[in-house]
Amino acid sequence: MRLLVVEDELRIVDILKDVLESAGFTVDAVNTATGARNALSDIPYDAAILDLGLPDGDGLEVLKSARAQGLQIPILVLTARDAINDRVSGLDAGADDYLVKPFAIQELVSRIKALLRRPGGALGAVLEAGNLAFDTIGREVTISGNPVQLSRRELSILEILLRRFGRVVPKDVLEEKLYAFDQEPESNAVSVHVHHLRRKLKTQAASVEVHTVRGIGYLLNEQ
Amino acid sequence: MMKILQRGSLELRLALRLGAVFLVATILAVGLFFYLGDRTASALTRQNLFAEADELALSIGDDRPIMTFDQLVDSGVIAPTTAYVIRDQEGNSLAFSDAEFEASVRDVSWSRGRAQYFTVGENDDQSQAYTGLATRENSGQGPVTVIVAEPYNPENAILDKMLDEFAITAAWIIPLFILVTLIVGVAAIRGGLKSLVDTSARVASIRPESLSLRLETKGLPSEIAPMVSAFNQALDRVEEGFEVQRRFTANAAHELRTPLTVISGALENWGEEVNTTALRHDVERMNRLVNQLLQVARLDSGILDMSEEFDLNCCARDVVQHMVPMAINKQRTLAFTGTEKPKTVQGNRLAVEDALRNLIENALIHTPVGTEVNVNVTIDRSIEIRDKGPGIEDSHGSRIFERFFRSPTNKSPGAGLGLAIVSEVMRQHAGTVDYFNSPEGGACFCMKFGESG
Repeated sequence: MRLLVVEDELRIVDILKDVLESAGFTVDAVNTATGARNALSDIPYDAAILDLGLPDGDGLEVLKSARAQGLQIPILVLTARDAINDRVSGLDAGADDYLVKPFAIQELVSRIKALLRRPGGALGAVLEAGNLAFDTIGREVTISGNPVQLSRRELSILEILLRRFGRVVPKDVLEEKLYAFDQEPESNAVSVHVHHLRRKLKTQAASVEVHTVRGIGYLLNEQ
Repeated sequence: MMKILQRGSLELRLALRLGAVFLVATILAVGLFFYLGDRTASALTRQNLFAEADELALSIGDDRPIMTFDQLVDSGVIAPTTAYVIRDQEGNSLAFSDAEFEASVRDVSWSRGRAQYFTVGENDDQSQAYTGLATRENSGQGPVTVIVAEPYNPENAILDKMLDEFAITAAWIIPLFILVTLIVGVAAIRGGLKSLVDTSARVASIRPESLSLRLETKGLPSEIAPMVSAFNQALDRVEEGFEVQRRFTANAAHELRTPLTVISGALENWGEEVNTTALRHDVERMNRLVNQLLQVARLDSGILDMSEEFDLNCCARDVVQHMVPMAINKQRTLAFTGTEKPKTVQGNRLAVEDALRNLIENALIHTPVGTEVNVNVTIDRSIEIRDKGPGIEDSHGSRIFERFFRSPTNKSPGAGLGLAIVSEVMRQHAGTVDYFNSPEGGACFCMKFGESG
C-alpha cells in the first residue's frame, strides 16, 4: 500500500514516515508542489497526504489539477490555517478529508485508514478498529477473532460508526441510513439499537466503545 | 428646500462673514456718496462766495460812492440772491443789501487773519437763512470786511432733498439687497461645499472591512483636494497596516502550528518506555495558547467580517460535535440542546465558534470527571454552557472577562485569555456574555446575542 506525503516541513515528514511505515504503508515524500504533481502523475499511489502551504505554490492547486486529470485516490489535506475557510475550499477542490495542524499523528493514521476503507478504497472489505473487525461483504463482526451476533440494524449502525471512527455521527444520519424513505422510524428506535449494540460490544470485551452525545448523535472510539 | 444653517457649520460662518462684508461695503458706499456730494456742493458755494467778495471789494472805488444793491446786480458783480455787508475797519457798516441781513450777521466777523465761513438763521423759521463768508479785502477806500452770503437753500437743499429722496426710495432696498445677496451667497457656498459634504459622507462609510475605498479627488476645490489626497494616502498606509496584521496572523498560525505538530508527533511516536503524559499536556496547553493568541490578534486587528448570517443551532452543534473527542479523552461528555426553529444572527461565525470553543474548553476543565457539559441554544437567541464544577467565586465579578485575569485559587492551566476573547466577540456582535452559579451546582455562561446582532 503506497502513500504519497506532500509536506515541506522535514521534521513532520520524518514523523509521518515513521508512523505510517510502522502501520504497514510504503511512504514516498516530496516537499514541493512541482514534486507532488510529478509524483502523482508517475506513480499509482493508493492515497495522498497533502499540505496546503508549500514553498512553490498552493497545495489546493495541486489538488485541483490532480482531480482535473481524473485522479480518483483519496487525498487528505493538512492545513495550518484557520479551519472553516480552508475546509470549505479544500473540500470543494476535491479533498476527501482534512486535518488542521497541530494534529494528532494517530488521528491522521486512522483517518487515512478510514479513507482507504471507503467503498472502492484500497483497504477493501474489512473495517478494523482496536480488536474489532467488520467484514462488510460477509456482514460478519469479530472481536479478538470471536464472532459476535448482531442484528441487521445493529450491523448497519456499527458500519456507519466504523467508517467515521472517532467522529460524531448525527442521529438523523443514522436514521436516514437505517430506514428507507417510506419507513417512518420510531422515535427512539436508533437509541434502542445503539443500546443493544453497546451492551453486546461490552460483554464481548471490545476495545471500542459507543459514546452518546446527547442532542447530536453517537461516536465510536477506542477506549 | 434650504435647510436652516447649522450652528458651527462652515456654511454659517461663511454666511455671517459674507453678510458683515456686504453691510460694511454698503455703508461705506452710501457714506462715500453723501460725503462726495456734500463736498462738491460746498466747494461750489465757497468758490462762488469768494468770487463775489472779490468783486464787491473791487467795485469800491476811492472816488465814487459804493454802488447800491440794484447797481451791483445790474453790473453783474453779485447774483440777485446774494446778501452782503461791507464794514470799515472800525466795524461800521458802509453798505449792505438789506437791513435784516445786516442785523443777523452783526456778530459775524473776519478774525485772526482768516476768512470765516458761517451760517445764520438756520434754526429760525421766521427769517431767511444764509450761508456765507466773512473776509478782509483791500478796496479803494482801504481794507474793508466783506460779508457775502447766499440764501442757505440753493445747493444744500438739493443735497438735503437728495438725502430725503434716497432714504425714501433707495434706503429700504439696502436690507433687501443684503438679504438677497446673502441667500444667493449661501446657495453659492452650499454649492461650493457640496463636494466636501459628499466627501465626508464617503469617509463616514469607510469600515475596517471596506478599507479599499478611496475618495474621489476629481471635481474637488483645489484647497480641499490636497487634504483629500493626503487622507487617501493615510488610508493606503492604514490598509497596508491591516494587511500586514492579516498576513501576520496567517503566518504566525503557520509558523507556530508547524513546530507544535512536530513536537506532538514526536511525543506520540516516543514509544512506551517514556511517560510523555505531562509533556503532552504541556503541548496541548501551548497549542491552546497559540490558538487564543491568534484569536486575540484577529479580534484586535478589527477585520472581522460581520456580514454572515447563520443559525446559532448549527454553529453550536458543529462546535460540540468537533469537541466531543476531546471531551471523551478527558472522560467527560458533551450534550447539546437546540431550538426547534433556527435562531439566526448576523456576524462572524468563525469568531462565535472560537468564543464557544473557549467556554466549552473551560467547562470541560472545571466539570468533574464523568459529568456532562450542556450546551443549549435558547429561544432568546443565547447559547448557554453549563458545567457541574465548583462554580465561580462571587468576589471575581466581571473581572474574569479581563485579559490575563486568573483566579488565585484556579490551579488549572490557561493564560486567562479565553473569557476575554468571548467577551470581545460578544461585544462585536452587539451581545453580552454573563455567568451565574446555578443553584444545583456548577457555573453557567450565557452568550446572549442582541436583536440586530
